[in-house]
Amino acid sequence: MRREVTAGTWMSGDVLVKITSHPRGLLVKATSQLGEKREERIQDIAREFVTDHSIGGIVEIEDNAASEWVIYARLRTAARRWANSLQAVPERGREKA
Amino acid sequence: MKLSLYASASRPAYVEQAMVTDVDAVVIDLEDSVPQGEKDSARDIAAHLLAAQERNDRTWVRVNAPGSDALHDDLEVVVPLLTAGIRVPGVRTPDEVNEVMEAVRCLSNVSLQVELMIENEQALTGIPELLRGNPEISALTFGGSDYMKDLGTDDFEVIWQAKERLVIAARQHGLPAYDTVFSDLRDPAATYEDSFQAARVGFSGKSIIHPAQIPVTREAFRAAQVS
Repeated sequence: MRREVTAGTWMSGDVLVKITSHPRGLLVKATSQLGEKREERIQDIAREFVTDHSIGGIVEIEDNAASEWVIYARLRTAARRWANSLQAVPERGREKA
Repeated sequence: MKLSLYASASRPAYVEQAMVTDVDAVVIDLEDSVPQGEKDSARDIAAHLLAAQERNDRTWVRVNAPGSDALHDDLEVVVPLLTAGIRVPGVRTPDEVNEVMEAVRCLSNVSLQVELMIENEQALTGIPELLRGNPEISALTFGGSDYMKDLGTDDFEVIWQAKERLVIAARQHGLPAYDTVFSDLRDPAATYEDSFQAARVGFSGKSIIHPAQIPVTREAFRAAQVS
């Protein structure tokens, strides 16, 4: 069963974080209107965050010029929703996170 | 005069814009402006903003009302991070107020201020009981649209009478009273008129919903005080 959670928006000054289940584990992708350096920075933030929170799957972040504190807040929300979605899946159908 | 600018925690860009204005307080809203399914993300935005600020002594948070599922989590997350205060909407009974105050005392390391929003007739008539034993309550604010809903009226004369009663009750307890927002952003003349009347009634400040309302609201209060 494919699981997906999102947090944030595409609005200016915000980011949209999407986590999707994936059998091969962690993959972090970031896109930003502010260019490649910004994308690298967001990937670093996200990689550290998802590793700390034991999140597996594809983590996609679309940045619309958000401040770093907003990125952290949206990652936090996505991580909680991801954990809640795991709890919602019956034990037998649970995938390897 | 205290000017408080609301910024929805569901719109981080608005929050950042509010932070660079010269208002006396920015009130991060977790209540009416946040859709039910986004209460958790709004709380995260408020928490991370507060943690990121070097000083947050003019950052307030409006939590959700007693009876809402979100209130407990709001208090638990934001109160330890705040140094200014919280606004508590929709209170009706002393028990509700006392429960919030107890949580604030337990969760805060500073003497956090609390502004009670008076938004229904039960609270308006019971102000002395709501305040009893709660010296942290630093002001009373009026919640106009909820009060109108509570009374089932759209008669502005009734609303202004309620506002006068609120100002008098606040004064009797040595507290300032702050007026509700004026929602029509496209009408600066009406914003001025509303603010002028609020100052004349005796309010010590007002809440606003957009930075464009800052100069006109300040000017109206200034004019009312000299006239």
